[in-house]
Amino acid sequence: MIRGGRAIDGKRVLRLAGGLQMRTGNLLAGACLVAAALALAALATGLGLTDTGLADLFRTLAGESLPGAENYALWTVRLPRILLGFMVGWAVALAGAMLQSVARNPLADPGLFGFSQGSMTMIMLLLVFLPAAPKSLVVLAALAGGLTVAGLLLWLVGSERSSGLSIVLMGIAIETVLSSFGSLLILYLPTETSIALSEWLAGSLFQANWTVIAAFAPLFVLSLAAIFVLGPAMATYDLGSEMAMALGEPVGRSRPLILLTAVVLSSAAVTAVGPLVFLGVLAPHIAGFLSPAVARARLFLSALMGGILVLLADALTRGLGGSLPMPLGLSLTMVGVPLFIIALRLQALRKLQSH
Amino acid sequence: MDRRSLHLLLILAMLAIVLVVHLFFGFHAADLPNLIAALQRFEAQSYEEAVLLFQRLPRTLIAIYAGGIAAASGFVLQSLVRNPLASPATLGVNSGAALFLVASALLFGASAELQGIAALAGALAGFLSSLAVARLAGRRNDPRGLSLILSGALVSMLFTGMTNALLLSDPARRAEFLSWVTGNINHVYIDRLAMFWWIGALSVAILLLFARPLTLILLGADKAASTGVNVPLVSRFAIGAAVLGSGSAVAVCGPIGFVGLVVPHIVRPFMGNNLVHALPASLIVGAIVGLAADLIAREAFYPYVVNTGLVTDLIGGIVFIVIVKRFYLSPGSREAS
Amino acid sequence: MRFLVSCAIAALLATSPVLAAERTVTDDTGRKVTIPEQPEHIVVMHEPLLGIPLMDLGLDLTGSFGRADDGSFVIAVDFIDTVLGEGKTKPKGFGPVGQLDLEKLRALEPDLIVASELDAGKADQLATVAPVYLQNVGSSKVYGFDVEEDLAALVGREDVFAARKAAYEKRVEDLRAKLPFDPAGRTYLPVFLTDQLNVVGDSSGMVQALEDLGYSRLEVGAPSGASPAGGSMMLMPLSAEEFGKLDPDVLVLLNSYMAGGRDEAGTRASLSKIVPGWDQFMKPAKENRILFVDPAKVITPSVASAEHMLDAIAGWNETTQ
Repeated sequence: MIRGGRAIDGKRVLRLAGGLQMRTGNLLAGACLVAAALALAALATGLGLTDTGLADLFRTLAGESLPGAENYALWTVRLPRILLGFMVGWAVALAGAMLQSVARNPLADPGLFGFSQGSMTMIMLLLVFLPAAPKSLVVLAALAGGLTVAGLLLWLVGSERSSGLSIVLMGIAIETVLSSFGSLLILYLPTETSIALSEWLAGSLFQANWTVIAAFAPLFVLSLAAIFVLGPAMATYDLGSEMAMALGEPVGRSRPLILLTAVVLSSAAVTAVGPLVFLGVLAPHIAGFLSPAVARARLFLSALMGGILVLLADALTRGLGGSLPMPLGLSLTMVGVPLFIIALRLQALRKLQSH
Repeated sequence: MDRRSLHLLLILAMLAIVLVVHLFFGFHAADLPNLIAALQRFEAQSYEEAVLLFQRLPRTLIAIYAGGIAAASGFVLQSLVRNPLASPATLGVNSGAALFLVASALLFGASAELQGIAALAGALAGFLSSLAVARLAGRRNDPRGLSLILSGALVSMLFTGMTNALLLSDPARRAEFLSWVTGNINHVYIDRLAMFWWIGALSVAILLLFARPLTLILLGADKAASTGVNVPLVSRFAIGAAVLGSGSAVAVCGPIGFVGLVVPHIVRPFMGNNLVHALPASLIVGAIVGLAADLIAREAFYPYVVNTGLVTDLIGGIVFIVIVKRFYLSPGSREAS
Repeated sequence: MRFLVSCAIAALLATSPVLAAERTVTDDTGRKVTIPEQPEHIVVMHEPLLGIPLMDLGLDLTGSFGRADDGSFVIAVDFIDTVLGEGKTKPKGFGPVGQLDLEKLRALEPDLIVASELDAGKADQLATVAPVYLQNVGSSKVYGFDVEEDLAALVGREDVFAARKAAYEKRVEDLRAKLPFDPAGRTYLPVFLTDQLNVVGDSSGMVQALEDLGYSRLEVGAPSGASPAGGSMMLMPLSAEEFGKLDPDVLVLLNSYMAGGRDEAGTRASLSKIVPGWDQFMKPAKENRILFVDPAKVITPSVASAEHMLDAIAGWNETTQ
């Protein structure tokens, strides 16, 4: 029972039985992004030293076995990187999109709030004092760090009546203090430790393996649930927390819940891959340009775009052959910023045309 | 003598005191006459005199330069952007200058002079990037220019990350720049001061020259235009001077953050918003803060030293939190969400 | 028939790689690793700290992190050339620092990867290629050329190490006899010059040589006896003012790899930038008790570095006679 129709503002929608309604524009954008992601993933399987790719992948799925080097390249190195990269980009972009609704500002980003900085500081401290700590401890430390910052933020900002922007500003303040602490560590620890910390700060998909993916997968599923459950709240938050309360949104409960989700997503991403600066702003904005959306659709499209950007960045890193050092953070910047500028320009043009 | 001139005299006196403490802290009182004589003839005949002339004095000069310029820039930026959180550190100026300098040194092998020029270019690039990103937020829900601060923070994080990645690519040269990148005031950089001080002096001169028109613009662009002030030209010139001045300070000793953010807030309650009085006051108080931070960095962990930039970052970050709480979270300033 | 079968089984076992001579060891972080008895294709994650000691034991390295793919070095100093002499075959690289390429690593076909305790986070991924052994290299945990001793035990070259050590100790005795003074009870202070003064840690051949001769390290602390913040983990640079007042019996100066030359002239220039007037006012300078050493030769935790240090001391001794 899928019927076409028009929404109140005149845009085309698809109506499903049960009352769910989706704009066709968003659906189209979503489909395009999914296709782009798959295409990129397929391309990325072919990048790297060993001569293997999509064809070999299908062969293994069909039951053939590959020689050692190709099998290793495909199944131990490339596929985990592609999958984890997509999921991490998804998580960070989703966290950014949520925070942007809550803060009512298109520039909100998990890094800006200090969440990723909190996780990073904890992980750095762990690396310094317990370099051989088991992975589970690292994850817990990152989560603890992010949650501490979130708690500090909520405590400093005060009641539910404060504006979204004040949260962001306080987040920047906390982020600055933490990052200066990080500079202290990097500067005064012995060279090898300092380089290890800096390497980690630059972001890397090196740790991508099936165990990490298995650990991240439940989070991915959770994020899908979060999109579904928290999505409608985003639309009301966009109007401001007072308006949201007037519309019946339980701000006192849902705002902490959204912040918590954002923290968990970004902490997990930071633990797996390191900090990915700016992605939380880039992805939702570029996705918004492709198809201006609200609520669930916006979250979904932003997350897809985030995954695609990380795939692109990873492709750049591996495609360059490794003679030029290009950590993930840097390649993400090089891929994302031009797209961002293009999107800004085209959006300005679009605004001009529609006047 | 009116109140403001009195304040000015007071802070001048404070500067003199802090200067003396910074130069002479730790020396035995008995040596003082010899030390002062050494200053006059600029020649060292004992180890203490060598320390005074060749370690303390350069640090004093660099600290005054970096602190004063940052504070003056910060005041001008806060006035023109109309935001109490604007400063060279928060608008991407410092991180842009650092990135371009490190890139020029590591990727192109630039000499010290070229590195300085790169730093100036980077300061401008950082500021312009912050502006560009801020445009994304639009003007609708941005009554206080806050989006510029957000974008400045994002751009700073981005540029710092890129600097980090660049340094990592060359582990040997990393050691060379690592302490500079966190702001290091040291005799080693005195020749850079000799190279670039005129840029800062020029920028301060321009800002002082424009102090009156800038105050008029602060009161309202229309009012200023009606009195004959060319608002776009003056604003752009002033911002350019402020940004380039900070860039030159970064070129000397690395990014020293937060002096430009904090000092205007200290100065404003006493000197008001009139730049004619407040700008010289900012210069002086900035110099005081720079000297104080350098003193702490030098003596707090004796016989080991900490980078001055780290001291200003840590303390400045905490003051940042206080400012946000006071300006944005106090009941009187709660904006409609 | 049974004879043939058992021959076949024996042949199978002999060629089976699983049962080639292996043993299980516990590395410095407590992990149990199964490594070959005689590793032939070793890859190291830190060339100066792990690679040089191994090469000093006579092994050839297959790979080293940070080198370019063909073995050339992208950074300023090639420690193999400076410590062990020119003409050695260089190991191949598998990615610039910060960007380890697992496919390239696997292409080198290593049978053992030696990493430091700081690489513990990478161990799982590296283990997909070859067994990973984590060796402590941190300054607070190892001393002198202990790293080379530990690695010798790991790769089954204890006898080579013992021979090297015996030769080195003989040189120490000879040098001690030649010195006009008795080093026992005298102090030394090693300082590495960047844009600040960094006191060098304990884990280098240089320190081993100095302390074997009899010198002891000059303790630098606040008059109240407080140690630097953070204990030995954090290495804050030394205040230039305090430095000028210090009077170790021998001051060892090492110039950073980038600053204009690691010879005496370059090192003097570097120090003059940080502490102008040091040569006029520092006691060790006035009494010619300064040793200028090339860090690229003496900083690795290997016997070769210790021997270079002995050379430097012998040379200094001769010039001051």
